[in-house]
Amino acid sequence: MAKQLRITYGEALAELGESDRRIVVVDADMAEGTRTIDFKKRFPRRFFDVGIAEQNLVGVGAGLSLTGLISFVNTFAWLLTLRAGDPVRTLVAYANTNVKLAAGYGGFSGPMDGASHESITDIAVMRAMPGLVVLSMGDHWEVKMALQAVTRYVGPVYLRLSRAAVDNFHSTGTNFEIGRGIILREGPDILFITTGPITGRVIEASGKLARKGIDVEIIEIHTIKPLDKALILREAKRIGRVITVEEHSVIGGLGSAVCELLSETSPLPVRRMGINDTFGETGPYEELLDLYGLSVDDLVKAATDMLEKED
Amino acid sequence: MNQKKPKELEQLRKLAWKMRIDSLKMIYNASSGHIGGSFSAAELLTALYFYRARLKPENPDWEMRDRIYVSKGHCAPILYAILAERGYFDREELGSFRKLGSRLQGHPVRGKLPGIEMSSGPLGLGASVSVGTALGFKLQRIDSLVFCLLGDGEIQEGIVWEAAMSAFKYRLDNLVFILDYNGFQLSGSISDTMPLEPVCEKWKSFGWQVTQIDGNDMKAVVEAFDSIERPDYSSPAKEREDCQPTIIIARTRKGYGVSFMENDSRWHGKVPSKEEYERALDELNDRIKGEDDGQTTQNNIR
Repeated sequence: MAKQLRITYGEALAELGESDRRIVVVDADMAEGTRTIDFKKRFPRRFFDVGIAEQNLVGVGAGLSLTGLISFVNTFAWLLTLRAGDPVRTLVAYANTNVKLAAGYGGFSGPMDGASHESITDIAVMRAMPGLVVLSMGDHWEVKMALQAVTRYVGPVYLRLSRAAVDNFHSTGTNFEIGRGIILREGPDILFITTGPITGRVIEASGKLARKGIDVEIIEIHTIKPLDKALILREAKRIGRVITVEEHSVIGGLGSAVCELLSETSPLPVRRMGINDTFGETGPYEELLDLYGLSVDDLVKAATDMLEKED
Repeated sequence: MNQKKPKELEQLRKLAWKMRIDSLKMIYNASSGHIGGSFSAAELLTALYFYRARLKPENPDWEMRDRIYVSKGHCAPILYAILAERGYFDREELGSFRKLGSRLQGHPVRGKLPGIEMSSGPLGLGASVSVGTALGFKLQRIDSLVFCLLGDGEIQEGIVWEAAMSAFKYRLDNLVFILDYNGFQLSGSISDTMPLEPVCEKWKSFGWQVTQIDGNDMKAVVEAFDSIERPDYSSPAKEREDCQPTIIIARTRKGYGVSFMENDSRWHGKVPSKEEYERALDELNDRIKGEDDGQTTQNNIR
C-alpha cells in the first residue's frame, strides 16, 4: 500500500521544525488527521491547539506571525477556506502576513465522511484572493520540496494537501520552484494539464493512450497561482488541444485558470475534467474518483474523443 | 498605585478632546466615517498611545514595542488622529482620510501606514490576532504587552469567544482586552439588538480578570492601565493559576463630548451638516477650555 501524502507532510513539517526554530504550528483539534501530531510530539512548546474553532485558528496563526514567527495553520481544506474564509481573507491575504495555510483532505481524499467533508471548492475560493500563493500537492517529493520553498518565501500561502495514498511520480532530480509547472511527459498529440494526486491517473492514461498510438504531453501544475503562463501558453499553442484534470469542481479550479489564460490570447479547445458541479458522497476514494468521471478510462476516452472530433 | 500628577492627567484629558476635534474634522472633510465610536474611545486610545504602551514612533517596527490592535477598525478617524499626534506620520495627511489614493483608508490596513499593526474592520478578528501575538511573545520571552480595543457590539461575534477561551487555556497574562462599552451599535441599543449582560460575569466565567471602569474618565483609565503588570521573564515564573488575561470593561458614552451626538445610535456612522459640525466644534473647544479652567470632566459623566 502506498503511503498517504499527509504522513509525508507530518514528517516533513517536524523535520523542518528542527532546522528552523521560527516555525510554529497551529491546529484545531485535527492533529491526528492533519498529521501535525509529529511536530506536536517533537516541539510541544511551538505547537498550539485552539480546539474546534477554525476562525480563531487562522487569527492565532496570523497573530503569531506578527512576532516574527512562521505560522503553519492546519485543518481540513473546506473548514480553512469556508468556515474561516473571512479571517483568511482579512488577516492572511489582505494583511499580507507570513502565514502558511496547510489544508488537509483536499478533494475527495477524506471520502468516507461524505460530501460535507470533501473539499471541491477550495482552489476556486483561494485563487480569487489577491496576494495569496496557491499550491496543490501531488506526491511526496513535492510536499517535501514545497514545505522548504514556502518556508523561504515570505508571505501568505495556501498549501493544498491530501489524505490520498500515492506513489511518487516526480523524479528526485526535478527542480521545484513556486510558479513553475513541470513537464512530466512530452508528446505532440494532446496536452494534459493536471494538479494533485490525480496526476498518477493521468500518467496511467498516457500509457494506455501510447499503446493506441496517441502520444500525449503532461504538465503538472503545483502552483495554481501564480500560474506558469509562459509554459502553458507555449505548450498549448504548439500542441493545440488541451485537457485539464483536477480533483476539484470544474468551476474555478485549474481548468478555469487555464481557460482564462488561453481564451485571452490563444483560444483553442479545452476539455475540463473534474467534479462536474455536483457534491460527492461517501465511498472508497478510488471508486469515488471513478464514479465522478475521473477514472483512467474516462481520461483515455476524453483524449480519443477530442482527436476523433477533429476527424 | 502611584498617584498621577494632576498636570499629567490634565494634559491627557485635553489631548483626548483634541483628538476628538481632529477626527470630527476628518469625518466632516471626507463626508464619511464613524463619529460615535471614535468619540467613545478617545480617552482609552489616548491613554494607551500617550501614556501606557511602550512605543517608539520613530521606529514603528521596533521589536520590543507593545502591540495595540484596534479591532474596532471603524474608529479609524481617532486612531489616525492619535498616530499623527504621536509622530507616526505628518498631521497634514489627516486631510486625506477616506480620499482616493490615501494611506488613511476607511478601515486601517497593515503595511499601509506606520503604526498600524493589523488590518481591521471585519469585527472580532483583532481578538484572535492578539491571542496569537501574546502567544508569540511568551514563546520568545519578549516582555511586550498586547492590547486589543474591542467594540461592545463587536463581541457579539463568535470568534471573540473562541479567542477568549484560548487566552485562558494558555494563561496569557500579557494580554489586555479593552471593551469600549458605549451601549450602542448600528441598529440601535446593544440591549435591544443583542444584549451582552451580564458582561462581567461572562468574562469571569471564561477565566479572565475583569476590571470595570468609567472609560471616559481619564483618571480611571490611567489607573486601570497602571494596574497592568509587564511580564518579567527574568524572575521565577508565576504559578499557572495566577496567570490570567485581563479585560477592562470600559463604560463609555457613544459620541461623548458633543451633547446632541451622545448616546444616539444615529451618530454611529452619520456625517454632520455644516451647522452640526460647527456646533460640535464649539462644544469640543469649550471642553478644552473647561480643562484649562480646572473643571475635571470625569464629574460630568453620568
